[in-house]
Amino acid sequence: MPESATNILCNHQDAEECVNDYYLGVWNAIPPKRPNSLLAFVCRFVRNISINRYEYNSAQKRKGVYDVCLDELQECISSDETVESEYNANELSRLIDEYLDTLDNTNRMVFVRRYWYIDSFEDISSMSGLSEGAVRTRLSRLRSNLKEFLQSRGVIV
Amino acid sequence: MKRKLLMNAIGGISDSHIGEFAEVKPQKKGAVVWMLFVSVAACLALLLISISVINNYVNTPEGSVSAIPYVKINDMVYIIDSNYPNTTTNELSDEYIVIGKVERNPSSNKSQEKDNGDAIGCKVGDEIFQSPDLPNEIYVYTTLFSSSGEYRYVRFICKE
Repeated sequence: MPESATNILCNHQDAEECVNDYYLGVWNAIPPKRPNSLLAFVCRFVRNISINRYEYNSAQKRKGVYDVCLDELQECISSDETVESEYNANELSRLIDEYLDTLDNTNRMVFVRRYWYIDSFEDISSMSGLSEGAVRTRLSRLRSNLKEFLQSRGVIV
Repeated sequence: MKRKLLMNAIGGISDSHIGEFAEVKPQKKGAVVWMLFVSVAACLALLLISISVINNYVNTPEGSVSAIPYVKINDMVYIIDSNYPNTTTNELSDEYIVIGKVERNPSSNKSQEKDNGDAIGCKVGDEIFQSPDLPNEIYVYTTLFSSSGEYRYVRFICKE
């Protein structure tokens, strides 16, 4: 579980602290929350706490994997394009779910591990059995397809 | 801001997509390629074996032998009629007489010279019948291809 925290924060100590924050947060959240999937709830909790900590530690000079992932996603929405204002994050999440459902198992794994779990190319390569170059190529193609998908849904103009 | 919006949107994907890949075990590099090779090789092997088995049994009667049954008698080689079992009979007409018996079951080596009395598929001692009017065919009283071990007259023809 600290894996995604370490990926985002690039610092094992910070990641360990996030996990401690997570345990406390889950203790306080359940109940009243009753998540359908405890695993997903746990992963989501750690991720969000890690991102918040990362943004708090914005004095970092070295780009972590999280920053690189953000830069990669920049390709999906170029500077002269706008995101329709009526789309909020929840609706976009639903559309991305829809997009993920169109992918085969390997591509979906590569996308989710990169942009949700913030894994490095090397880690995704070892998980998928693909070479790092193949992972990069696939991600580039997936981002391009995501852009087309969002354009076809009228999200990006 | 836009990229953060997209990243946040990705963060909100469904639990099923998150949980699906929460614990992914590392695969050995090249494992996928090896698996593909092994799968293709296995399919090819299965295909070759199937072709061999089917080929061996197509037009081959029940209880097949490893080589095409033949009999050599009176310096002529007779091979089993391809219309088997339609040409098998339990009785022969009176003009058919015994012209010899199977004397040996040599190996099925095609390059080996055949001698009179050699036969593949028929047992040593099986009687060979022929009609004087039909020198290009013989009947052997044999259990060849009989699943029940029943004796009947099996037709062999000479292609020469």
